[in-house]
Amino acid sequence: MSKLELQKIQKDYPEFSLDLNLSVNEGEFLTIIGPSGSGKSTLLNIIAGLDSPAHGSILLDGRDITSTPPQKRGISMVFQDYALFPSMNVEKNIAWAMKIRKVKASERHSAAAQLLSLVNLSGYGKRKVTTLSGGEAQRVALARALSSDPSILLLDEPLSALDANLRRRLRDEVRRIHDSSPSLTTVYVTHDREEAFAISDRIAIIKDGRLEMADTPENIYRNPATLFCAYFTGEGTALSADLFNLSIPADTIFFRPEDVLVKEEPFFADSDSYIILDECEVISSEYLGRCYILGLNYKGHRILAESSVFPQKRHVSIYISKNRLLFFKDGVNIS
Amino acid sequence: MKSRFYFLLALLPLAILLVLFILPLSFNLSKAFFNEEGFTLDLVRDVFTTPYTYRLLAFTLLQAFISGFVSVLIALPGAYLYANYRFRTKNLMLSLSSLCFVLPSILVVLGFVIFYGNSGFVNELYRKITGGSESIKILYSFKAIILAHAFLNIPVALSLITDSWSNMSRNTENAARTLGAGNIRIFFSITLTRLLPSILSAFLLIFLFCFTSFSIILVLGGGPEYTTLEVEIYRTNNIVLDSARASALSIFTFIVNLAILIIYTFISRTAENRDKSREDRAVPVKSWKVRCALLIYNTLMLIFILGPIVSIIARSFVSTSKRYGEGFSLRSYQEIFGTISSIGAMGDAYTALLNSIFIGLAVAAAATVLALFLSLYSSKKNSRLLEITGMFPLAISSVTLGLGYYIIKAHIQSDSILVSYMLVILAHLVIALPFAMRTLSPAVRSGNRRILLAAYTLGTSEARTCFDIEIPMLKSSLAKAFIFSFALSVGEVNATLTLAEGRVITLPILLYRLINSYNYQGACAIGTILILTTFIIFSISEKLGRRKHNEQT
Amino acid sequence: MKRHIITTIMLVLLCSVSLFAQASSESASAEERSITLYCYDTFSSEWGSGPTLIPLFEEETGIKVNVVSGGDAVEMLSRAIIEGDSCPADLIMGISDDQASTAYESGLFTSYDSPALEYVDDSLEFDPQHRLIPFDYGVFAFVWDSESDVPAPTCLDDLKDPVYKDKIILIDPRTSSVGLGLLMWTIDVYGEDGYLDWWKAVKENALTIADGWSSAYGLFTEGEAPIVISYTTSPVYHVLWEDSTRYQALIFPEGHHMTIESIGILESSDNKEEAEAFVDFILTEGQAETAIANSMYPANSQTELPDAYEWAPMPDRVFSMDPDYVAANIDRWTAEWTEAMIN
Repeated sequence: MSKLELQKIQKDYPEFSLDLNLSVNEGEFLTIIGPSGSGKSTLLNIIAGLDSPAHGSILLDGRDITSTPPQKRGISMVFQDYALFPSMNVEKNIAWAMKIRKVKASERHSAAAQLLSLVNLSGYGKRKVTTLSGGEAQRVALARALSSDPSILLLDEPLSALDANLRRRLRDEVRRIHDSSPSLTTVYVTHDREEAFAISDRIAIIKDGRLEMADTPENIYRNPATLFCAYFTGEGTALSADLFNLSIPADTIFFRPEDVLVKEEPFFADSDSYIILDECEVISSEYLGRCYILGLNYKGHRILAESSVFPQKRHVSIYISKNRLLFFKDGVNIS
Repeated sequence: MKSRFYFLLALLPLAILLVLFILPLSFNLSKAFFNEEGFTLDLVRDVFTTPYTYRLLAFTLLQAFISGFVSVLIALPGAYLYANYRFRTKNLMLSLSSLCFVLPSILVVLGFVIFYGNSGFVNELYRKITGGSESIKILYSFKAIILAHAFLNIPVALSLITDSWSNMSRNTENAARTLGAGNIRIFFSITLTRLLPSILSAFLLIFLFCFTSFSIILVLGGGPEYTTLEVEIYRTNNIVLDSARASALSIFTFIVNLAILIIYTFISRTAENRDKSREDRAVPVKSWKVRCALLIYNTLMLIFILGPIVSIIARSFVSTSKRYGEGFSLRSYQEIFGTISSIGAMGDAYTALLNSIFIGLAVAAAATVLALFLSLYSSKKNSRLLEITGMFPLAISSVTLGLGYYIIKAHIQSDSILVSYMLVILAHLVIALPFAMRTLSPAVRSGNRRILLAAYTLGTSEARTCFDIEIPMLKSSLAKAFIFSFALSVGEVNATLTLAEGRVITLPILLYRLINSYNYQGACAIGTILILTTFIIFSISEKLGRRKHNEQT
Repeated sequence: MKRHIITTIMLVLLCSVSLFAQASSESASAEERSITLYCYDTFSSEWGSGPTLIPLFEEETGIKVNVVSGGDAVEMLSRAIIEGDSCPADLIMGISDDQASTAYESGLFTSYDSPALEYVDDSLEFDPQHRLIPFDYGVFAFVWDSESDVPAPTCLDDLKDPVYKDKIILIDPRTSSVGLGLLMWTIDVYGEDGYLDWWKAVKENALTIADGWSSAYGLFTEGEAPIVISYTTSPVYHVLWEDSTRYQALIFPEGHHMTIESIGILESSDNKEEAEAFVDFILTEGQAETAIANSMYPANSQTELPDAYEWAPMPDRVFSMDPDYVAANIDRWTAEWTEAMIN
């Protein structure tokens, strides 16, 4: 039995219509990603009880909490803009939930101190929240969310407002904190694909209010359920199936740049294992440090290929491994 | 999420508005529908179809429009300087400029006459400089009306526009600058557009004030060609003694004002939707050009605003009595402070001061709390109707309101002085409510909603979140609303006269009595005390407001 | 949370206190002999004759007087009309003769032929039915600053002279009873066909047409202009309190308009005896103080007045208008006046 179940959640909004089912397992770190305006934050709000669905139910440990007010759900949330209480200092912010539950002052103080050290901000207790930097504020927000001992922790794009380096450091900390609490289930929203891949147990892809796919990062990358998921989770090329003689009734084939071999000299390749395309013109290249991503033109089609060196020749041949191809019909994976 | 809690909060102010405003108003206005034969629409129809009514409306609108326009125009450069630059006297200037807003109009008239009159200070100076005996006729003309209205309202425009401008982030303008746009271009196509809602808000608010302006127009205008709807209402009610027709005219005025109010509410909503930056835009003054501009503007402002005010203060030291010696005299103050026994009304000065302060504080507390509740509810419900309701009393002059009150009074028989106090407090409350709402509503609306949501997820009930988290975030706006309401109460005279029934003496009532008994020196002394009290409270508020603002950024 | 509770407690306290006060005051007034007086604000103020007269009356007669005041007499009258039978007032003081018609129509007042009326001149008794009893009167006149550089005008027509350009302060009849008095004065003298011509001519010389007496007189004493429409009794104040005879009331041979203030007993009153005692008091012992405080003449011709009243000259001819005539025409007069002034 999953920890959190969203059953047939439906609601219409101006930009999209939410309509999905989703399960979250106990103790897992699930990330929801999707393009902007797809309903990720809304979904989080519904889980937290800050918004209610028109239809459908939310089950927590099998209990229906759809009409339970947010105060009683035991679900905490961390917001993108931190939403710290400006009239209180760091410690008071963190101790707030305990104060609500009438925990004694001395206990609150020590619990807050513990949480501060968990997020690596020991000694910040008396600081005014308006003097904190972005990274510090977010960690305080995290500590505060954990202070109510929630069963589910929601994070709504918590790192979007921070710079890239800080993001990388903090996302690891978020994962670390999740790991340190064995029973904590975390649902994380981001639009940063890399972030999602780095720290999640499972990823759910939302598009236009609908769930495209929910699976482990590996499965999503290797075996995306839809073309959209394929594109959303990494670079790749989609070509019309007409270009090739295939026995499979697909209309599109898809492959990742790293599954393409780029050769300038003739290469002995087994045409059963590879699709061979000659006379590909090198149009563009992107240097990633560890390799180049080349943009090639084959008979008017654009193909992305990975290469460890930059080709000397203008025209190259590419070899696409057939067993790495993904086949799609009407956008759905039929491989 | 159900907001039953917020609804309960709003019940109290709504109930009070109903009883203290809607009821007296409808009692007053319903007279328009009855004549000797019974219910009739004739009176109302008559008023709405007489061309004379529209002629009055035309002039009323004209002077209100020009007053608003001039006020905003003069306030704009000031708002530019105040919003963009930090300078030491900013707090002082802002407090000073709000003073004139609060004075009873008889004092405004007096101050103007003493300063700008044909025998006034300005002309004496002019005569000394030119050595001639000619005076510049500043008063008793249309421009004098505009001048007086500007005096009263430039501070409003300055404060509103400065507030909005100082919260505007510089990013868009800087972006335009990098694209090669010159400063003037930037101002007109970018800044002005973003300021337009607050400019229009200020304009409309001023427009409404000037709409119901009365004695200033008649005295300083110089003649009945400057007649407004209010004058006609007064004439019909108090001279011709035809209260039914006066009510019909009041209905007409009310509808026009209401329309303006509705437009205002819609526009000021748009003003708030602009993205606000947390930072204060102001930077320290560096260039001497700016320093110069500041100096000139501030000096002109000081002269313009302080001129009439200082005239009143100065007049309080001048005795025209041959018995006690003409010229400089402390007599009025000695009477107030009891070092000399007083003739008549002056002996009450101390009582009046205490009453005014006590009533003022009660009104300010109540108005702030009620406006807060109403604002909280209307922001959660996102309801324009509620906001308009809270601003209703602005559409009615305090004279009309007072007339409605004694109808209520007629139904509450009581000899008790406490009831008189209560009624005065409640009447002031209704008058102050719109101003408190004007201050609090935008602040509540621009609050970060996610902070409240965070509190909910941490287990805080709606009520507790409201009181322990949301309200503390509003400290500076609460202070501002408090001060404004206090000032309004302290300066109110019309409704007080009706409801106090002579039992409760406030500073403005004392003023009124003194003027009616020829004691202008005494009246000016009381006026000075009014000015000082208000000024002190205003400066405290400005300081509090700044400090909280700085703490939060 | 705390503030919530405090506000509620405060409001509850205030309400209960006021209720308590109301209850106790009502029971108190039932015990002793007392009357309720409606009057204009200046009477009840320290400066008015109220605070000295009332204690005197209470001492002499043992009747307590409960003074209720509002802005002016018109308001008090309107209020009494609305209150109808449940009006707590026994007396209304301050209704002037040009407002009398409304008072008559209201049917609120009962007749009282006070013995003190013997000493009141017939010309002042504008109500033959003695519902409204005169207690003081004023005569409108132009007041002139003797220290100014213009000569004192000698008659109404003089004011049209160009030498007075920007030297006269008039008052608007639509917003002030003094202004109204001036309007009626001109009608008295020039008749309904000619009065507007006077106004049109003198308007050219008017510095301003003020909204009320307070502003007009304020402008006058601040030196804005040397001539203002006021009362013949205005100089009395300056003589009494400032030892100054600078401001002089001018008497014109064509006559002046008069305004009479009255007091009336309400039909619905349960304390008519006591009310009558008060009326008698005002008309006798209270005359001097009332007159001085209001800057008017006492109705009782036997009243002794201070020497300062020598500076309040009495004109040879005095006009007054029938209240019903006034009520019937006032709307038209003020409308015509407005029309004439604007064009």
